[in-house]
Amino acid sequence: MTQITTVDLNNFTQIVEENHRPVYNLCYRMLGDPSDAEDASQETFWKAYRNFHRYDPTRSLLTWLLSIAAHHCIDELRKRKMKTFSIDLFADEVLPDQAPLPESMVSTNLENEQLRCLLTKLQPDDRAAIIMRYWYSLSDEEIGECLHLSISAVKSRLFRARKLLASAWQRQQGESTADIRRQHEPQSI
Amino acid sequence: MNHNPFEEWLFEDQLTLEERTQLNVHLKECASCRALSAAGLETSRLLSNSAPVSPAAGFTDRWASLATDKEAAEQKKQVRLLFILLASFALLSITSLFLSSYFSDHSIMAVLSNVIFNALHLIERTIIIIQSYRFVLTVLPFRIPYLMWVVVMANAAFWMAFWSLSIWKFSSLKRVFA
Ligand SMILES: [Zn+2]
Repeated sequence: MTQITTVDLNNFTQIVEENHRPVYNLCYRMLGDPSDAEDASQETFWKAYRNFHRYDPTRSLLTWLLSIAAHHCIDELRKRKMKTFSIDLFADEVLPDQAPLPESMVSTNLENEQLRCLLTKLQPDDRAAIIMRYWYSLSDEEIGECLHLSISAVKSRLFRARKLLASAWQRQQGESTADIRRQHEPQSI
Repeated sequence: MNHNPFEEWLFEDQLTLEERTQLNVHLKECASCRALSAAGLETSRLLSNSAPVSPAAGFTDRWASLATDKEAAEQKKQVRLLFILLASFALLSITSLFLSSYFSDHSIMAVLSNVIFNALHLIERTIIIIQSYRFVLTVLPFRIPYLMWVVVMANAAFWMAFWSLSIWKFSSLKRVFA
């Protein structure tokens, strides 16, 4: 990781180049839409660039960037009160750089879609905590630092989020089996 | 069956050995908690196995061009702000110069009494105008014949329409040449 303490546009682009994938992924998982995620991550880097004097070099740069991104997305979600994501975005999804085999691509897309639906069930703060834990393996302390929460608040958010995700998953599975059953039932006139 | 506190324990990070044993015993008996536990494990698996998503190629270039635009816009804004500050400073200086020359000729008490007198005069005038307006509105409708009202209102409506039309024409002409 590059150690830069003072910054201008030219050397900040290096920071963008090194960190844009994780930042974009967090925004995508938070907002559920590639174009919103692009805007949010661009804005995150702009905010980071403008406020680089506030960055403490003893902390991880990526964690600092993720913190800005998470706050930006939480604000966006609150602003828009975005609760549902349209299924037609499914086709526009940008896949990871290492393109997988076609068969696994189908299952990855399906799982991504399932995940996206599940994450929408969570409150923005809880969603950010879950994403930071599962995609970036951040500790409770680090998540707390990023989201400006106490460790106990992080623990309770993660607990609440896991419970909600499990219930939502059960409901989702119940609905899909009911759908399949309905499709197999003989049509009565 | 009572699922408490087992439903909570399923999602608890740190359970004691005793709690873990109790939970396992409950899970053997309770299909509902077993299903919830399986759902929890499945969502954890989904979250852990999901690969990060990358943006479309050229993200850094897009950011650099956006940042250049934003920096230029900020510079413009700063110049505008500086101009406003300088203009307000100039205005303040002129006003203070004027006031100081004025006060050197008049005593403060004289200026204050003049201001108060003028303010009272203004209030008095306003009250008179409001009263005469009220009088006109309450008395006139009964004194002026019905037909006269129709003529006056029709005239007013015509001139209003003419005025709006000319303003609209003028603004559309401006738009054409813009
Ligand atoms: Zn139970």
